Amino acid sequence: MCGIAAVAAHDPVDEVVRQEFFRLWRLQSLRGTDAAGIFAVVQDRSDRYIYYTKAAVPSTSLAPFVMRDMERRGLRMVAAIAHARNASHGTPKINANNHPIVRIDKDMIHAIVHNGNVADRRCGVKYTGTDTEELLCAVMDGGPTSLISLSGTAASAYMAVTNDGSVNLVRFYVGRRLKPLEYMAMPGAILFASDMYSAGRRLPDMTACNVLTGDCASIVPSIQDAAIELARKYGYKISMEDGVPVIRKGRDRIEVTSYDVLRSELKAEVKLDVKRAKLWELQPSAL
Amino acid sequence: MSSGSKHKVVVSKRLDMSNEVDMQADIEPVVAKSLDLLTALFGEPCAA
Repeated sequence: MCGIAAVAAHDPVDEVVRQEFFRLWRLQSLRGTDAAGIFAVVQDRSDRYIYYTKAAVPSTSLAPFVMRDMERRGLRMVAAIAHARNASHGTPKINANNHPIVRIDKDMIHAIVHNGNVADRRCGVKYTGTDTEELLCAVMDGGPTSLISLSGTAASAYMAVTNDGSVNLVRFYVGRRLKPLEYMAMPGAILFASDMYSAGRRLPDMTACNVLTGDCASIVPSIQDAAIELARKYGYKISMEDGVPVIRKGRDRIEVTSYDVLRSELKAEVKLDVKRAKLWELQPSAL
Repeated sequence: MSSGSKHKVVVSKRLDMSNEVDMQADIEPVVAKSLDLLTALFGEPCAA
């Protein structure tokens, strides 16, 4: 279990949003304390920069440090993705394994934070010991739905900026496949976190969004809904473990991490459709 | 706390501050207009 936090805006966020983002990042330490990190687009009076750091310390330590460091440097935040890590793949002692995981191609810098476990292989060459890098390779070449189409579990936030010195934010996606992810619209900005502790709305399961436009696509029924419906139909007990449905079939404990698990374990047919919706409007701020 | 307890609870207002002092020595955030491969990987400026 890890925690993610993110904020997106077109212009530098105001003080209320800034405080809320750092509060949420700190809170994610309840989901993991092995490491923490942030990748952000920041702005001084005239220019935009990448702000990036990660370390094997809890977000309760790194978040206040980064907040004060940005203040000292006179930097205002436009967009950011941040992480609180509970390490599963790759030791946190090697900083490359900590999040954000960042890769460069010829045009862009790509950064991702992730909570979950991915089983697929998408990278030709890997630089880290993490499964998250596989998710990053998938989304670099695909659209937002890449974040929810790999086998396993994933609540993720991904952003890409130009790598030619202009630091333009060109992509910002979020996705939720089983693991929790909540959102909250604030003036001029949208905030995300694995858990907002009663403040946010949960993104529907199996949903991926372009954060900058608010356009979201959901696969329906979601894995959660399909599992609940089938468990009820066949009379099996079902519980949720950090968003993942677990069906008790006699003595068997079945973690439902994909539609294929339902098809193979319950011999059930699941018909899928895609539902599209605009979940928020990201307006320019009044600054 | 009962006298037989084996657990000790540490309550300190200085914990965050002392952590930050250590971090200022150990952590140098990257503030840049572009990244090279090693900096992207490790999230800290790499010596040439």
